Amino acid sequence: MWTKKAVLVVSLAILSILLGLALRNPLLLSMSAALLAYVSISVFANTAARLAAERKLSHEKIFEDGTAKAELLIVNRGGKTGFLEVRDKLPRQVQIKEGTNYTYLNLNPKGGATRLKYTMKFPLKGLYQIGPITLRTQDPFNLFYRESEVPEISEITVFPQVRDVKELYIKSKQPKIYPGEMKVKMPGPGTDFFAIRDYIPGDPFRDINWKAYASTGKLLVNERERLSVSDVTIVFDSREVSGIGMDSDNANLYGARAAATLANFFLKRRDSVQLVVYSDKVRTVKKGTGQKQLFEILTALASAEPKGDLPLGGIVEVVLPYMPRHSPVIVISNLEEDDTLSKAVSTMKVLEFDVTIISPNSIEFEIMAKQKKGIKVDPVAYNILRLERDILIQELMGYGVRVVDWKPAIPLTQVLLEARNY
Amino acid sequence: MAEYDFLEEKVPLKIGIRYPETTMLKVLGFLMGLVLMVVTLLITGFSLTGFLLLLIGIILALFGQLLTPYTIFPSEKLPKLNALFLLIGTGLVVAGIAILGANNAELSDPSQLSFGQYLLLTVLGITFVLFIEYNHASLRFDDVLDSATRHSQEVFDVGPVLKNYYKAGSTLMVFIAGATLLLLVFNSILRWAALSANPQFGHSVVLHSVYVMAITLAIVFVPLGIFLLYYFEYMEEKLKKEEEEKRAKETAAIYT
Repeated sequence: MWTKKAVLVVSLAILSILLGLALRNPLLLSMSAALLAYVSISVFANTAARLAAERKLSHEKIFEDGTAKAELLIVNRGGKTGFLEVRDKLPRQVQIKEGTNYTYLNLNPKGGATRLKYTMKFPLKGLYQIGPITLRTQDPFNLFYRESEVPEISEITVFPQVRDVKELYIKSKQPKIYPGEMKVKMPGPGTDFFAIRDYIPGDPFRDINWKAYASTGKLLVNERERLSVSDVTIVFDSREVSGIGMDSDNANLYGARAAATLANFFLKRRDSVQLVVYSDKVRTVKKGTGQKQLFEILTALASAEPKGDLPLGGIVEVVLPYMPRHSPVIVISNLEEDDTLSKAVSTMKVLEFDVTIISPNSIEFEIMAKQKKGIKVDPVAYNILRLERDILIQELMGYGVRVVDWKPAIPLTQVLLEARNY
Repeated sequence: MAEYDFLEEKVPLKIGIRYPETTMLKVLGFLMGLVLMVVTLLITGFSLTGFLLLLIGIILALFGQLLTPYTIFPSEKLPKLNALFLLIGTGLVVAGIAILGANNAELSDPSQLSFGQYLLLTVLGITFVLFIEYNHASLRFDDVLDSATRHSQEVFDVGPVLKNYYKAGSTLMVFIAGATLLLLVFNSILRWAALSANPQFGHSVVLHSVYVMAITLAIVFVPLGIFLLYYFEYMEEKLKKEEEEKRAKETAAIYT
């Protein structure tokens, strides 16, 4: 391929010939002869590189703001590489904290090797692809180049940040009557046998294990395996509109952090949590407990990119049969561009779900992005949008739903505390 | 939570040496400009306008070396401020040489030029190429260092690459100088061939003016250009074929 420089040099050579002829100037013609010789000889000085590469990553799954080390071994399998640019392709959100993913070198033929080591920081959640390795060989004068790729690709999953929340008062209104179906590996109210322990004054008489008492002579009581306190459903809106704002500040990112924090909190409390992510399709992580469930939820949230425009109404209809009745449902949505919101919320309320909506405010994200880019913001237009949003929130609250309007300046923990007044 | 801004980073406008590793290239670029000026004046003699244009061109090219790649145009495809200075400088140098060598009665008939004069013209051509090359190389390696330091926290060692550049560049420049001299002398062969074929054509005005140099260039470079066009196409096809074969081999290795 020609570089811009080669095109400019050839143009200059042609211009020199024309000017030389017009002005009867042999100097210009000799200059153009040198320029054309310069370009022609450089064509043959460009060789293709044949490289093999291997990448090792220290971690494949990390949390936002986490780091991962990469070590890239590049081996020359062909002849002389000449001027070779090597770049390990990284997504633009990734920051390099140490080392380099880029080098400009000249590898020895057959077996010449180099090692690139670098530490990446992943500030935002997502599924990241590291690689392929792009190669560009040039002649010494940078007139021609050849590009190729070594298809060495690695993937890193970056989970949304999980905040430590002390207490949330989101739970089922009737936790005893509808305790959920999931067994949690700890003693508590339930039906199945869990363990035997020493009698403590106050234990119900019917729990005493008489057989054990007969064989040991000690008063021992049966313990039962506890059933989960409540089944919590988190509905996460990952539609295209959730990406309004900047890469680092948008409803999708904030919402994912809120969902991850809530899931972590409920799972720690031994609740059973299910996640529904809707974007261009619906992805459901069926209810479950424990670390494995948290891992699955975090993976689903990490891969939730803003795309598609499925309405909440449709989601409720599809997912509702699988939702445990009377259980808390937390909808995390920016409430933008969805005509089915009222209907969806009303349906959930009719079925007596305890609905909480945490709504990252996309209008504020958009204003922030515009201000950062130096674009003038029309206050009247945004005031109208704010008013429309307020009306919608009031309408939803009219159904008996708790709605938290999450402005970007408010920290996540404070937003979650606002959702506590149950 | 830290603030992350992925908006495009704008390079601030600064004057000075960006990286000390490329200072030698800057000096060489400026020196080549001065040599070019001296050779031109040696061949053509002095004329104030041409001399001033040459001098300003060389100074502007040097000034461009000392600027950061500050964006002045809205599109990334258009040159940055330092490259723009180099372009304007080169343009002025060409304009200066054009004015200095225009309508020079002594030089307009290539058949009257001595081998020494051909040699001087070759030096002029090569010096001009070196003037462009060193100035551009300085900007290019500055950009390479920029890119390396922007994407990494380590100090990028451009030393071995520069060493290779000087080595490979010098070897190629010898070939380029030889090719230029041959091209310039080739018109004598052309004139001789024309004389043998038809004496009337051999004594024509065209073959005794700068046109013969242009004809020589056309005779050599038009077929070469056509060859290169096919060569590039052939190389591209060859590369594709090789890649396909490689992929087929890899797939076969997976399934066996």
